[in-house]
Amino acid sequence: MFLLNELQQDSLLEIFNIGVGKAASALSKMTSEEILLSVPTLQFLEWDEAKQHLPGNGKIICGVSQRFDGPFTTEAVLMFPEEKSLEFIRYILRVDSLLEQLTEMEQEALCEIGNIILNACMAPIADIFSAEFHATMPEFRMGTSSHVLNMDVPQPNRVIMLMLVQLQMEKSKIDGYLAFLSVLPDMQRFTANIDRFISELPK
Amino acid sequence: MVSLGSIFDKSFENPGLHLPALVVREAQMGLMVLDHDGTVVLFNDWLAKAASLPVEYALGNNLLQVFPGLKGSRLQNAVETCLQRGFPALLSQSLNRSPFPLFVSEEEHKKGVLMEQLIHVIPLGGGESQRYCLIQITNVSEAVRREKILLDQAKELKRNLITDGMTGVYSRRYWEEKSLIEFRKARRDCSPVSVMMLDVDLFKSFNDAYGHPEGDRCLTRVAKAAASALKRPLDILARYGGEEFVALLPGTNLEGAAVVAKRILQSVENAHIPHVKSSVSPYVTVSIGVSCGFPSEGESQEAILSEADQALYAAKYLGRNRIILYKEKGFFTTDNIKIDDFLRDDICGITHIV
Amino acid sequence: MTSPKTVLIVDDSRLSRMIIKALILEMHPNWILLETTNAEQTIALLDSIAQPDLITLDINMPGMNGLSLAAIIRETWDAVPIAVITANVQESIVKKCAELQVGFIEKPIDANSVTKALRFME
Repeated sequence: MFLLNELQQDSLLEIFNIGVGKAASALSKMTSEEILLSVPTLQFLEWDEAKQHLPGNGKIICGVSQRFDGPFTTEAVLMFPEEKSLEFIRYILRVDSLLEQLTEMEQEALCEIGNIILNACMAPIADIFSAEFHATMPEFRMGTSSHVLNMDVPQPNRVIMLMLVQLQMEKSKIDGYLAFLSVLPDMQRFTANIDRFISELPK
Repeated sequence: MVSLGSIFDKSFENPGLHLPALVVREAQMGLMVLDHDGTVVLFNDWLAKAASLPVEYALGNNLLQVFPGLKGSRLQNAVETCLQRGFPALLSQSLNRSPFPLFVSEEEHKKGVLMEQLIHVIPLGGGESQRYCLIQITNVSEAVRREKILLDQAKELKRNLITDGMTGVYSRRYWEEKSLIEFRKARRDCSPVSVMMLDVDLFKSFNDAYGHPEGDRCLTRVAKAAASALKRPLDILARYGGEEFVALLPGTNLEGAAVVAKRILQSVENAHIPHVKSSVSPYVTVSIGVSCGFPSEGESQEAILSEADQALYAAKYLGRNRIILYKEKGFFTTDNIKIDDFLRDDICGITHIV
Repeated sequence: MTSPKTVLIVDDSRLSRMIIKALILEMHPNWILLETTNAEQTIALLDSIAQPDLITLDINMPGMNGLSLAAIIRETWDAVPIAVITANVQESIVKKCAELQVGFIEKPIDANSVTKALRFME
């Protein structure tokens, strides 16, 4: 599905790249280790198709999500496979792993970390679009990746924009994903925003 | 700029505001609103009480004047991001220990115990210059306490699986788990493993003489004395059952194990636990059987354990308070004197009967 | 006008290469600009032509990343000035750049960042 030309797609990836860089820097400060980033992927998919492109292979995922509403709307999610989320939060809190489930306090701590990372990621994106994003409170979600990405209620005939970056902590090898999922109701508004960004670039 | 602080007084003139004002005042959580400069324009009663500050003191002052301790904190940062960008923030109790100097009660205040807090920083309204920031503070002290109890119980459960509740040395279950791992490792590394069986001498007569509670204390002291003779972190002493203990010494040959056994024997005797009914010594003593093998040469864990067990019986048979080593299919004292085959058959016979 | 210099721009994003190119040409219309999109192409290019006066490198690229590429370039062409231009602003990345003696410039790219990059040639 081609919805953006190569330059538009490139611009969008570059914009997200800058956000992801800030997010990695925030995470790196919290964990005192380097975060290895994969090359981000950007896909435009049909609703059902998108479900098959989500990471996790139907396994249980823990995620923190926030919805950002601005020049475009996106569900931003920091997510880990369930067992990695336990490792991750206990690594940051420096506590022993005794229980096989996240406690309430650990869930809240995970929410806070997700919140810091997702805010750090979206701030430069808002700057680039010279726009404000309204953001919801971070929410803890557990389930399949389509549940974590808020895709339980089908929205057929809608185009999904899915951006994925894999994060891996260099020493502890804990890995997860940053995912941005946008249901695009208005392709024109969206591309207009990107074109405006491109038009302001040095030529 | 209208100060929302006086909203309650004004609300009598404006009935539409009366109910929301009552809600803010009576809410069982801290509510505070800052304007775009960070000036406090709303401060509810719950918060005033928990902070021991009059509402009037907070209103019209900057957040950092009211709470100077917040300077440079993550909360200050979150408030700024909220006012500038309109991004909300959540501050969890685990990552932010009590950002506000709040107390659950006066008693806790006197003890200096701070309230555990969950904080939401919420943007109100749009546009940077008209935006407000709502800080919502929830008391999670009870939840934290509940979780701590839960974790302590989990820890205790786990500890009980690993250690023997009475004597404090490792449990038999843990020993079995650990020796499986160590035998596997030894097979791979072609290294030796030594196993030791220990038994408290004449323990039945000790119990008869001093009673069972004293017998339990005796076992604990013996266990402690024996464990203190193991110096390397990989060496494991576990309670095997009753008055019997077992030790695992990975990477140790028979000579090395004999040295450790001597240390244990000495350490137990030096504990000077009186035993008037003992025919061996005025104090409680132990007998030890030692065996060593190379799992890489096909020696099984069961075989080595059984050899150590036979050596322990030999030690008992030969008069207790001593060490017997099993090697080359025979029994030896630590001075390398071989015990004759006639005796050996006898011992094996006993082992069978018992 | 200054004597023309050669700058090699390594970035997988066409947009980034475009912006860097446009900004350099605005300042120095007679300079020669080369572009590659990954480590392999870059090494092949360096093998076949004379060394450029400056290399700008992106970090997050498919295949070998920019820092590993910088290390390889340093081994063979140790004198060439390199400026890493990246959105990856982690402290450890800044430190690694310093160790490799390559410049570090934060994205987004603007006239300031390009001027900063060109200064690494001095």
